[in-house]
Amino acid sequence: MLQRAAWKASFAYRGNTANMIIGVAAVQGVQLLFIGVLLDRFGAIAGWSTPEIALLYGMRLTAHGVCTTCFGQHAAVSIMLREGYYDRFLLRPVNPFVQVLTARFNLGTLGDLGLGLTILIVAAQVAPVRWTPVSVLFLTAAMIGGGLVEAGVQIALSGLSFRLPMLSAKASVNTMLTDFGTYPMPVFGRAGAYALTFVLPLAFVAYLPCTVLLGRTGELFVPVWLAYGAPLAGPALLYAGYRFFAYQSRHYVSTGN
Amino acid sequence: MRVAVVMLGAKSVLIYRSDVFIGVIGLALRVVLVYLVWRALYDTETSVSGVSLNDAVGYAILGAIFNVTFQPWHFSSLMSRVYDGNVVFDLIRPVGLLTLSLGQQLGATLAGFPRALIGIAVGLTIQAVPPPAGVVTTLAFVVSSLLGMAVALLCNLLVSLTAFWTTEIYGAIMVYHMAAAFCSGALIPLWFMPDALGAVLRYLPFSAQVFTPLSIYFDPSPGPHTLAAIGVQVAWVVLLAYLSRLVWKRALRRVVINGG
Repeated sequence: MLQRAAWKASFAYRGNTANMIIGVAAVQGVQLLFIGVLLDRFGAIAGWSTPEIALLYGMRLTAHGVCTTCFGQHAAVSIMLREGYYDRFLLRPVNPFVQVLTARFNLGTLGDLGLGLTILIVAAQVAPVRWTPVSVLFLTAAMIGGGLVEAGVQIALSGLSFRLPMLSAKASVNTMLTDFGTYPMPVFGRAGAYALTFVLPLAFVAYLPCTVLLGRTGELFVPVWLAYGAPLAGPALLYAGYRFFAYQSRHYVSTGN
Repeated sequence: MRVAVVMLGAKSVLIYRSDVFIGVIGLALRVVLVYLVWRALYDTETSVSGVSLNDAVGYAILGAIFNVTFQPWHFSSLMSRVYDGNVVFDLIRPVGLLTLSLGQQLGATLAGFPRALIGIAVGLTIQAVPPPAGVVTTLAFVVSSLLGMAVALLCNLLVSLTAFWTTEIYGAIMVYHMAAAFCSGALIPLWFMPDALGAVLRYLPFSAQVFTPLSIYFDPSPGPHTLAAIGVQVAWVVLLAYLSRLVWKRALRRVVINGG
């Protein structure tokens, strides 16, 4: 119900809606252009052809869209804390975390999801994947799971802002996910791939499930079952992120307004 | 007093210590990741489109550093000041609004310099960025970088000024931010762009922000063409400064104050 109210509030201004959706689409569009120019010059990235990279890109962006449409408001936590809005949440008989997520709906996030799904659908037709009901189901689960992985990480980071005043740090993790989530992990070498799997769980968002769909699990640095089980990492990380947030929120000190 | 504005702009960034700290680590990580990606892209090739692996990697790293330093997400408080009406207080200050806004931006950008230097140091240490070719190149690069910063600040100011016409401009800012990152050659050198696209982008002010200083850095033989490139940057600075004056004069007439 709270989420619906937030939606309504944001949609009330149609001009802004279009404006924000275009803005977000531009952010991702440039990333697409970037990859496009690279593929145009280099032909393949770490042995992955253009359709394969397109599928990976579509999966990453769709997962990102799932994260931002459902959990996008985590980004506002640091501002809410600084400006004292969080005080109000504590007065109301609803979990403050739920109130944070439903405070406002950022329409731009629909741009993420829309563009992600479009690219995913186009890429799914050109990529060398034999689509069966099982693989489609796996893809769907992976997209939701990937969104939850990202949400878990972001929510945990938001939790940190109870302790440290942070404004741009989360944004930089965010762009990191956007900028480097679209490469096959072997690009980063063994150490880099491990770091982006276990320290910052970027590989779980799209790369691991994508290798399963493309039959590329042979190149993995990690056990194959981890790739098949990647969608399950989402709920687990989201829960962990939420627990961390809730734990950190006990350190909340009002700014006093 | 103008110096004070710049100092305050710098302070508004540096006061968030944890932000600064994470920003530095983030940039260092980015340098390493960009390095790995471009190495992987070249794979076994030694030269693509006439650009060697070393130059491409070095360029990509410096480009990433220029991108975070010159093209930040929040480049001016002007928009929110217009949005919530506080701009009226800025208008009655003894320092002109343009000076005020530019000063703040300049301060915030200068505050990013230590981070940028750390990024460059990391790049030089892991030998991903080749050292500059000589004294002349270094000097030209520094001058051109500062001019690039001036072009970036003026472009940002122009975008901020549109707040006087439209209330919600965050969408427009995102479009501008990404367009600038791409068109300035901060993400990919213009050398790699398809020929027609690359040619068009060279005539836009974005390339004067990043591509010009970086191509000077990687130019093995600086000469009259280096001076010409710097001359074009100066021309952009003059033109953009004039343009923002013009836009500002018209914007002033647009200010409507609600209530009192």
